[in-house]
Amino acid sequence: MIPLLKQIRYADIFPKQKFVLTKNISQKDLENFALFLADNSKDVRAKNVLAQGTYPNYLLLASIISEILGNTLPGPGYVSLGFMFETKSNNLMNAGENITTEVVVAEKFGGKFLKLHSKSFGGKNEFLLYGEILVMAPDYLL
Amino acid sequence: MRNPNKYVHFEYANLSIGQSAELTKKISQKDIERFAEISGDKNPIHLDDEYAKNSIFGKKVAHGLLAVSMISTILGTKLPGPGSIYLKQEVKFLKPVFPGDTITAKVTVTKKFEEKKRVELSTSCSNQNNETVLDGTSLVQVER
Repeated sequence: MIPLLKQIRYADIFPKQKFVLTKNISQKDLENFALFLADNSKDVRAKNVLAQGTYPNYLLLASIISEILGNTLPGPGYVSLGFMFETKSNNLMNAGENITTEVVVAEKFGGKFLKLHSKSFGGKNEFLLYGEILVMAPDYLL
Repeated sequence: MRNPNKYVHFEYANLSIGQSAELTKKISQKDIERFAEISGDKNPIHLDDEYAKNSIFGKKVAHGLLAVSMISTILGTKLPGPGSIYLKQEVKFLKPVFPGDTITAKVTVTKKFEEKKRVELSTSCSNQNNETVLDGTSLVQVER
């Protein structure tokens, strides 16, 4: 059994609660993502996806948010109901950069639902991605 | 250097409303494990039978982003293809994706924005039972 990651129950979550994660994105990370995406199709190669250049790999940034949601806030037991992610700038992302992602609880409602906001920043604190996420938080501890 | 002729690739002028592309893939537990590794999302609901058994789904499920990744693959490689820039994605997750499900992702051009050369696409994924597991919209910047 995998060791249980940090889990927070709905009752213990409060508005403005925040978690920040800074992660160094290596060239290997970018390539792994590109390979994974291309592996979803039999008729294209990873090179094709890498060809999108150094614009932020949208899905890679989103995956860091997924990492926070799944591991920490709210953590294991949560159910993702939907999201909106949007880039609001032409800032670029490069291999070797530290990407900082913050997830903040914006709203609690309905006894189990959370609306969270996310912001992703590049190594020079430039804005990369804004997100709004709707989840159902666990009401039990496993 | 990229050779656009090598891949499926549409410039803005060659995109039309209603144009669509699909991708079908069987989601294996190995795919889920790979996605957990590269994303860092190691929520045991995706990886641990014992844990997942007691969850709301009763068994392991795929990451929501894994199905979304199929949409990203279509946008980046088929429609519009290389050179496009993913600007926005809205998604509603309607049903879980389980290991072994066969997922078909589909994107369809719904709007064109002439001034900025952007297109909006409806996006959806359905399973082998023809149930929609997610739907949403994408906004993409296209090569002129």
